[in-house]
Amino acid sequence: MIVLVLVLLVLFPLLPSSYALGVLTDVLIFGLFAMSLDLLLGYTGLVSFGHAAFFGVGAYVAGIVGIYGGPEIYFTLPAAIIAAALAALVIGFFSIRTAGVYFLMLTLAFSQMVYAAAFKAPFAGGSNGLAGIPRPTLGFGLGFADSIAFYYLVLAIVLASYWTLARLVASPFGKSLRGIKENESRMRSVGYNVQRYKLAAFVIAGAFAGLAGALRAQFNFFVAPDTLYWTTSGIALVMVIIGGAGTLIGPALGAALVQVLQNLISSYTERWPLLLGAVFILFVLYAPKGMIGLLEQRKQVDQETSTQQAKSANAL
Amino acid sequence: MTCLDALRIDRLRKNFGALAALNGVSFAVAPGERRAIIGPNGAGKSTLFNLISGELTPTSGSVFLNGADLTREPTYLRARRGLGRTYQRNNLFLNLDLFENVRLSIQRILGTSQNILRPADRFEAVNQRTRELLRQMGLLEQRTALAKNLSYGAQRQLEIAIALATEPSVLLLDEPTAGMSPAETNAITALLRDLPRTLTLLIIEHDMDVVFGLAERVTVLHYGEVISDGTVEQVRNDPRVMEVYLGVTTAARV
Repeated sequence: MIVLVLVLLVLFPLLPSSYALGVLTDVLIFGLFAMSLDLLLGYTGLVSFGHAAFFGVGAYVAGIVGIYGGPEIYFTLPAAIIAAALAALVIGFFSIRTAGVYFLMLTLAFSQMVYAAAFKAPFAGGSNGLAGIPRPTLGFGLGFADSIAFYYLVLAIVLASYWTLARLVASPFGKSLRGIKENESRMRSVGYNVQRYKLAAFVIAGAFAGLAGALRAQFNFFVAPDTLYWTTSGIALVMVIIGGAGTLIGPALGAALVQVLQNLISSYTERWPLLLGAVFILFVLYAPKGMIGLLEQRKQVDQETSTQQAKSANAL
Repeated sequence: MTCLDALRIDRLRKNFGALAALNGVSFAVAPGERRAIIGPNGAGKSTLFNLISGELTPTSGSVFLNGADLTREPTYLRARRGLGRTYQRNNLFLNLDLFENVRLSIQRILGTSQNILRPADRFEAVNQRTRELLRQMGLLEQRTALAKNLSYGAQRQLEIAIALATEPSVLLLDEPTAGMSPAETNAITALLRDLPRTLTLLIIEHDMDVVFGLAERVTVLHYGEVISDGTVEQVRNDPRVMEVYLGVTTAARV
């Protein structure tokens, strides 16, 4: 199954549709963004409503470094990642002191501050956004300007990020985050410095969001301040929840569903958020474990029927 | 003298608004001692434990663990200094399996909990210690069950296992046998009795059989004050205890 998906992803550019390739690139980028939020929402139990801040900081920094510095990938992506991580360190430092709805509101307030700053900053293009962002290069005349080459770059980065995040959540550190999500006060009473773990998770999630933002800016050659707007944080939460929080791959599937729906429906009607809202409500009410939950149910049913078939075959 | 005490409480006070839940409580517990804290409901026993473990901050007074003043330290640092506790109401990781519930404590004390590079399953020393403790507690067979699916008795045992796994030098047990059947109560009492003397135990308990079966000394709290403190015999014969705790009318029979 995994191999099949990988093969399809690798062979996809053979299709002659550049539109579909663009959608898939966006799916991968938002998949990474949603996975980074899942580290907070699904693993640490932190409902951040400000994840757009790090996506946006990554996008703007990759843009500014690309335009004023140079398009080399060795500078643009690390700069975006580091800037997003630093922003997460500052915002996280204050936000993790609170919990629940206060944490949600504080992260929202911080991200709206970043939005307001980008909206006014002349070097960031102000309300017009930042245009003319170059695709990354490797030097020696090599680069990812071409959309197929850029797609493969995004695919490689997203797969490597998934692998890294999957290892992270399986590590003792990741298990500690799960413990914090389950029962924060008990973690304290067995000696965990819970605040430090939360801050570390927040910074790591911010860094991966920044990487996604940088790729998004390079993909579109452009960043709008809207990237930082709270609706971006909201759509990321929707992706995580529709896909299945706490599974990493689920939020990536959620991102795919949301992106594909948006692209399919927005060509017919402006009101695609209405349909997205309906889909979201259906998932929350009838499939709270998201798309991954549905797939697992399916698998269990399949297994049960196959064992039953095996039994009846034995009986014969 | 101070440094000889495993735990010393000095004039500890806790006010909730106008109510003094704890009104200047002082006592000391020697290393290896088994101390019971008894008293009627609302006497301030759980408040006392919350102040010792740092989950509440005192209005005034101090807490010393092995001679070190912990009064201003956060809960997690107190735990690292060797203070463990269990809760009156189960305080578990309900959606994690039993093994993981205990492994979280073990990986913390073995110092691997911040590792991000290797899967947790590959830390053999951590897993080995977790299995050993679960075997000792008689929980090993159920290690893959989610904590929320365990029987109440097993959850109660897990509550103790999580605390024991941090290898505390002082362990606070808040009604460890609350809600258990007589057989389960006996099993827990036996398990606690077998704990090594390197460990100091403070037990809040309502079951007098457990108190008299485990404790050497008893501290009696009433309305936030210590009204009696001594050996089991002394406390049993203390007229004030009979008066407020056991009831005047039954004093003759005690």
